[in-house]
Amino acid sequence: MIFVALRSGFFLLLFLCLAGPSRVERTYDADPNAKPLVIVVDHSQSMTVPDQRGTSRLSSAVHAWKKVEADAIHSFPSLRYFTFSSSLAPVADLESAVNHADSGAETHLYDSLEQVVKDAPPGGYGGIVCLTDGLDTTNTTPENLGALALQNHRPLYFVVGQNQQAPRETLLVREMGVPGQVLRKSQFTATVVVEAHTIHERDVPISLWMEDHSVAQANLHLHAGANLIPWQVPVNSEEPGLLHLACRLGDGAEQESTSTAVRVVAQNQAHVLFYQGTLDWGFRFINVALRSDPSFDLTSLYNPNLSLTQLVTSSKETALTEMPDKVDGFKPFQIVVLANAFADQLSADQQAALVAYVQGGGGLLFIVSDTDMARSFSGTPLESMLPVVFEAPPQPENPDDKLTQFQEMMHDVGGSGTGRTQEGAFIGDNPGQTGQEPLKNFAFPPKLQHSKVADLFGAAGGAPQSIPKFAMYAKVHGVKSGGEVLAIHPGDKTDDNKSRALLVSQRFGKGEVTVLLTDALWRWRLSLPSTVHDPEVFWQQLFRLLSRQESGTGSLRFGVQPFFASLGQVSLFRLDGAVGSTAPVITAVSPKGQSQVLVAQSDTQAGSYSFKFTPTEPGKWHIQAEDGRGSQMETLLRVFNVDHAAELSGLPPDTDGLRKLAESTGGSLLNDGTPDNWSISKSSNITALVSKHSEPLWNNWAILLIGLGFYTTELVWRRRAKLL
Amino acid sequence: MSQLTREQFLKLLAAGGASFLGLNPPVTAAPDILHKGPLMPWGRLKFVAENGDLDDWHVHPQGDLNLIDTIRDETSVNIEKKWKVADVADLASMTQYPFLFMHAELAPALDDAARKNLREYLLRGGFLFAEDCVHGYGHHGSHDNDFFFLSMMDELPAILPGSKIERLPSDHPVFHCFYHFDKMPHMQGIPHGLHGLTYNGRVVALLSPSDLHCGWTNGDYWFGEGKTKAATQMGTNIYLYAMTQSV
Repeated sequence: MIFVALRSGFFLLLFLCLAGPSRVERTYDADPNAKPLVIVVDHSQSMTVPDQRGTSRLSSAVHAWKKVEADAIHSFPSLRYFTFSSSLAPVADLESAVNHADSGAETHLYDSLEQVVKDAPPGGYGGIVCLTDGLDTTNTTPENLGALALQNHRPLYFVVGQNQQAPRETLLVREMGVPGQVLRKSQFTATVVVEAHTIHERDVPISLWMEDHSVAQANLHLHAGANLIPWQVPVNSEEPGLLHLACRLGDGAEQESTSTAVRVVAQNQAHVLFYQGTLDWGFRFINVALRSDPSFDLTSLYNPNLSLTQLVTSSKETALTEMPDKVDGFKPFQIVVLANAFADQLSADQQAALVAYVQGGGGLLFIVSDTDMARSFSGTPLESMLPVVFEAPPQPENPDDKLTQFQEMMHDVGGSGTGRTQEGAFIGDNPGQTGQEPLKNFAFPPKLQHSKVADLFGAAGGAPQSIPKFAMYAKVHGVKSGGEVLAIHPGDKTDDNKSRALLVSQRFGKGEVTVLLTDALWRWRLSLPSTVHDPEVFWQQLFRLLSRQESGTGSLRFGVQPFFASLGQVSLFRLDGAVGSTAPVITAVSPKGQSQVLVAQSDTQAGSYSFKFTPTEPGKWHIQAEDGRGSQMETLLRVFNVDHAAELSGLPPDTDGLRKLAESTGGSLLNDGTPDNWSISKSSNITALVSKHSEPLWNNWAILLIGLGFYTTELVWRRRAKLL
Repeated sequence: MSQLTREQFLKLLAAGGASFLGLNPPVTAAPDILHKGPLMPWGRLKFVAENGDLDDWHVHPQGDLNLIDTIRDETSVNIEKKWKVADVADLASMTQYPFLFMHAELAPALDDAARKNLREYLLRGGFLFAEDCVHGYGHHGSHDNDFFFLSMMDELPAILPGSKIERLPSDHPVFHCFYHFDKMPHMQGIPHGLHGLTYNGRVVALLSPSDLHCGWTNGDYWFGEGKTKAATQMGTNIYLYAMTQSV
């Protein structure tokens, strides 16, 4: 028994020595990648004025913020505070922001938030929360802010303040846009922009009349808050002359009518510059589509690196050998197509010239079907004018990677894949193999206006054959808030569960930009019978949308125009595209029908004239212009007794507008609750390991020696007992 | 496992040895960085030749791949490095390819359905490059055959009423759009010259009697030094012309 005990003791101590347990101490630090949350408080008068119960919009917003503040504190390492009305200022905490002394008479909401994004410290912010009612008094639009936030990955969150203050509702036609002139017997688009501020959601009727008969009717859906809704109607022109159009908005007592005129001419032509960065079959088919319509003239231009002979292909006999690097080089063209190009194929000057061209009224169609190709434009000047934000390009591989070089060399030595010397192998491997992916149909966003679909896709409502089909598409990071998504992928969605955009359009300056994120649809053309011409109609309509004849050379248009003014306020206008040796005749027609001739001064730019107007009565004024060639253009100026968008104008909070802006940047309206991505970051408990210290529980050598002692004792004892 | 030629084996050995020594492998001089465009397929047209010949159409498929290599190396065109087949009896298979290559020694035996499919393919915007193999699998005659070419000279205008087929002059853009040629490179057969089928003012098909394809396959060995290069360059011109012609 003693021997067993000694042997067992030896083995036990040997086992403990080999196991060598130790105690581990780990020290963690806060997630080094965690970014602070910024709270920006709108302290303008519209936020601080109390209602009859003493509640202000600011106190309402703070109350809503308090419901999610605890989650914010848990989700972000720190909170930083700013306050603004007409200027942005940092403050120590929320109380300081709420009790800030200066309640400004203006609200520079979008400029202030842009400043927060731009002035972010290295690493940026995890998010930007703004307590506001959304009423910016500077006439700035949120598109730039949305694009900036999206590019910098700064989601915006809003907390909308509301109280019982009786808001003032408005409903009016802000703008009625038609081309200055159109071809006889052609179709053009009349755009009516409706501005409305409503307390509750509702529908309002709208109709467009040509001469004395109705051409279109619809019900516009108004969301609670601010609405700026474009309504586009296809209109068929008739014989040359002046075509009168009128828009009637609303019904009953609130109905108002706005009218304008379009000059119909015998012939006009849009000149298209088609630039190819890399070669694709799409050009062949688009070329055929445009050449079948005499209202288009196409000039093809290739990236010089392609070494293709630049054939003179248009009646314009242009001497272009590469993309112009000055805006004047684009003047002969109404539309530029940038197809399958990489960003490094265009110099900074060329990109800047293209941006200036579109800003000045040109149309741009940007075609890209490959994600890597799209990525190359991330962060470029061109991206700033496109309605999408591209994904950042991947990190370049180490050019000295010898393994990569060796693999590429093996691939080249291996040849074109299937063995060059065995012809039978080809036939055996490829008997009638086509291997092409089935084509997919464009899908349409649920809220796309019917007329826009009909404009682009030929048959009203989209007959099956008229729906474009594609094989390849490019993925982008997101669509800017000002972009209008015309077509989406039928199945693919982004990481934040939004449908992938395929065709997106937006106004940029005076021009129009459209991005097509698929191949150039030549497979769609080949898949349809030759008697079906829907692909040609699609391209022709798309290019008509881009040409926007009112922005072409020589078309009369208002380059600068305020839409609202207060009584006695001087309003500045500029008229562009005037033709003739004398200044255009400009007339202001009062709400009561009285005409007043205004004096126009020649501007620095040829064809441009500036004039001032001071309204003498409230209501809707018509500002009419006619140049020496007889082209006419009209715009509206609404005059109020007080400033339309003044700080205390009584407009309701722009809840839906803020929600839309927030969601376009990956954020949300915090009045709806804590965002899901805050909960995720809270539960993931991401922290960084700072140090790790291991300490053995005992000294292994001592254990080993004791064990050997046990073994030695056993051996000696056995020897003495003559058992060994 | 595919067999290696001696040249390929020696290249492998050299590359492996160079990498072992930490040297840069001896790669061939790469062209200037040329971005590649969207991927597009290459298609060979399958059809029945006279006498019910079912094999004449797929002679020397590796020649197509050699041309694809040249186009990929020298231009931004991103043709898929795969040899795929479109059947003249199946319009849906044809319309997956914007460019179809048709090649045989014998005259094609096209029935009405095949003619209809070809007509529809061309009217929809497809491009056909048809070429005489001259001396293919069947070796039906001499190296001066033009069975396929003569037959297609009659077939093509009949397939597309209102079209016209005529020899293209040496200053035609197809000879100068990328590489410059004084005349059509000729491998074998009768040098009738490159012909174009014009419809509504546009060239929708090209017909060649000069067997460029055999030049793609093994031109230097079969026809003399420099023939492979001339044949692949003219093939490149034809493909690019089909893609980029504006008139």
